[in-house]
Amino acid sequence: MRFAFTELEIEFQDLVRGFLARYDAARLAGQDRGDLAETWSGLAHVGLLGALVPEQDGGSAVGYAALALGLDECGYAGVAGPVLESACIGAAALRHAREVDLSTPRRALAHGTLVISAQTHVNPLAVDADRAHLVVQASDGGRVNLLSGPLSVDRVQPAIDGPYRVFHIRGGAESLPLVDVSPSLIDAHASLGAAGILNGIARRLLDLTVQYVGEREQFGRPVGSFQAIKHRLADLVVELRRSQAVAAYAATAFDKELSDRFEAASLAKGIASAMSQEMSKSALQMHGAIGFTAEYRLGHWLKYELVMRNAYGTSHHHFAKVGAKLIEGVKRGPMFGLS
Amino acid sequence: MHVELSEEEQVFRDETRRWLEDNVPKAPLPPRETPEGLEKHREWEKRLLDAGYGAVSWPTEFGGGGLSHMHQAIFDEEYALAGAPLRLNEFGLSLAGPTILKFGSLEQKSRWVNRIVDCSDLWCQGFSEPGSGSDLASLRTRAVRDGDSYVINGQKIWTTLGHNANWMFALVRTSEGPRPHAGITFVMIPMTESGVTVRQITQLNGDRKFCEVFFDEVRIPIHNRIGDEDSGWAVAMATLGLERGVGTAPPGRFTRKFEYVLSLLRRAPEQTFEQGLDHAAVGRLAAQVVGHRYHLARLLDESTQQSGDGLGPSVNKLLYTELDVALHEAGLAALGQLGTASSGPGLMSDVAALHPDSEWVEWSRGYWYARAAMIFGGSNEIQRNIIAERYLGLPKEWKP
Repeated sequence: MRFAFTELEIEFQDLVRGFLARYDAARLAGQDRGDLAETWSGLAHVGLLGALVPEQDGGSAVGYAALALGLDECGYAGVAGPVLESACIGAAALRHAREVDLSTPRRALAHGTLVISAQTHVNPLAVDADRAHLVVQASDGGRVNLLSGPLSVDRVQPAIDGPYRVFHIRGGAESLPLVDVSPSLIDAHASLGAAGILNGIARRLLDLTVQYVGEREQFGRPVGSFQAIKHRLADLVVELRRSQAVAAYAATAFDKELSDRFEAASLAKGIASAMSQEMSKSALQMHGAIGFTAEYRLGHWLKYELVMRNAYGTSHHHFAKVGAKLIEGVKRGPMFGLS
Repeated sequence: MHVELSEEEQVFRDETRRWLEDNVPKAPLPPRETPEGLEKHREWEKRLLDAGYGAVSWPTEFGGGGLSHMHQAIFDEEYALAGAPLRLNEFGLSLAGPTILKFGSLEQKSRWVNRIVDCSDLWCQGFSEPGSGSDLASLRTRAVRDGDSYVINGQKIWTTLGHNANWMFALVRTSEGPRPHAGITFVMIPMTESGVTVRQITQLNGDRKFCEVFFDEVRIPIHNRIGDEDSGWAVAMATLGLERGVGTAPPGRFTRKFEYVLSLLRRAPEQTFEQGLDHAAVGRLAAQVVGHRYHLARLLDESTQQSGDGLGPSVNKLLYTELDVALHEAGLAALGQLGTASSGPGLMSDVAALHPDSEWVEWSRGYWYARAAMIFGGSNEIQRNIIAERYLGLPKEWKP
């Protein structure tokens, strides 16, 4: 029943937040976000990229609960792109591959000189693959491969300009099978990390909206004084906190290597996606027309949310997966602390 | 994250679990509001008390177990998971006692707290009135000072188990003024006093748990007051915080219901999927159960560390009441038309064979109670106001 972040985890979150306070997502929105190098070295410096990299390989090894908080901060700051793919999915692949020695790329990841992208059967397009040195490829045939450069990729033109750049992967110079790594391990890390990012995006959408409805006046008073607005926002606070609680449990399940950790990651992504979808709808609705302009910064998080909501499995996909397992009762032992 | 229980806490949990396994009545007790239910629940409370589980975290000098809030939470969780009977002195244990321990004088603690633990006194809550629901501060039950007494006239309503109780903790108006909150006093009223009339209300689910209570020239001594005159609002808010907080809805209660829904799905999967209760709906419920559990676990930690933003109880109330309704909706959907039937004579034998337990009979009753919970304890709309105004800092509603 005791369930609290450690001092180390809270300090880590403060560090990440401190660095990202200088990150100006709005300036970079709609462009190609300039050079990744500055962001990357900063995220390496605070220990985010090496959160899952062992200390002997130069990682911060702060663990999953800290990483989830860090990714939440990235979502809040609007850092789109291969943070989740590198720090969570890529790191997990490098860590669990035992047949080959991958300490060199692990070290490079922690030092901020390596960028990893990912491609899974539910996410066939790879984020920021043109900047990636490695791509984790999880096929539905039950194999995981690590592609290394030079990579051959095609930019997929987005339907609209947004914070997310995706690529079709034609191949890499080398493709290394990671026999110890299962596609479900990759999916679970994608889900866990994406839940963290979505919780951060939603928190930012909420903050922007609360600020706006407190200032915007109609009928001679702030629109935030109307109960129609207040109650909708209060419900979103509740949904956000619940989603954060599930994400914290899922991250803890990974830290403690609990047997239900993959299912917990699915629940975290499922509930985060459902919550963020509502947050997005309300945020734009409550901003009114101004939220619909390309100029105003809300759009950056709205578009980021839409991508992440459906990336690495929709809410329905994850809920159905866990629901089926629960009904079949295939899992032995307690699930989610349920007896 | 810190998630561990200490070794000593684990021992306590295991002992408690074993004791409950050996002692919890196999068949559900008759409802507390019936005479035979009252007797059975008294017997059950006696066994709890003898085993040292009367009030786990209250000080030993007042009859409690002297253990920590963590122990209390562990006990509550195990108690819920075991499907043990509802506590007879629910309002004494969860509200009256903690309020007296926090705000009462030493004399008041000695006078009342022990007698809550051993069920010598059963307590009820006198907050709502016919004209004062969400707008609680508008309450009109008056207490007029007369020497060393207050004379009380007025009416309370929705008083759960009021007819069983011999004490009520109540809010009464002691002065009129422009700020209605500032004229309210927190008092303890003996239900046995002349001039007190209690009438049970039959609810839409057939239960008769809620009562209305009338006061006609009821005289109580002024030392039955908790805190100062006209300062009862702050005491009441602390009490309501408890009602929405950690102790009222242990996650185990919902875990148990969720697992029952799962068992229904396993018994007759085809029928239930035809009803539209698909895998995704089950996964969504699981996420709600897990979300409530770990939000509450965080809240428990914050309440013992005196940290957090104070929003937890309101969020918790919204989470657990809506979860409870969702679980009942799912359970009833899984049961289909059967959900409206009782296990009595006339039930088809194949259905009876499929559902050898009788737990499902409680689901339609429980569903309506879950709906009531969205209204009581400060309606869910009031919780939303609290979250929006105190936490998000949104402006108060405009008053013409």
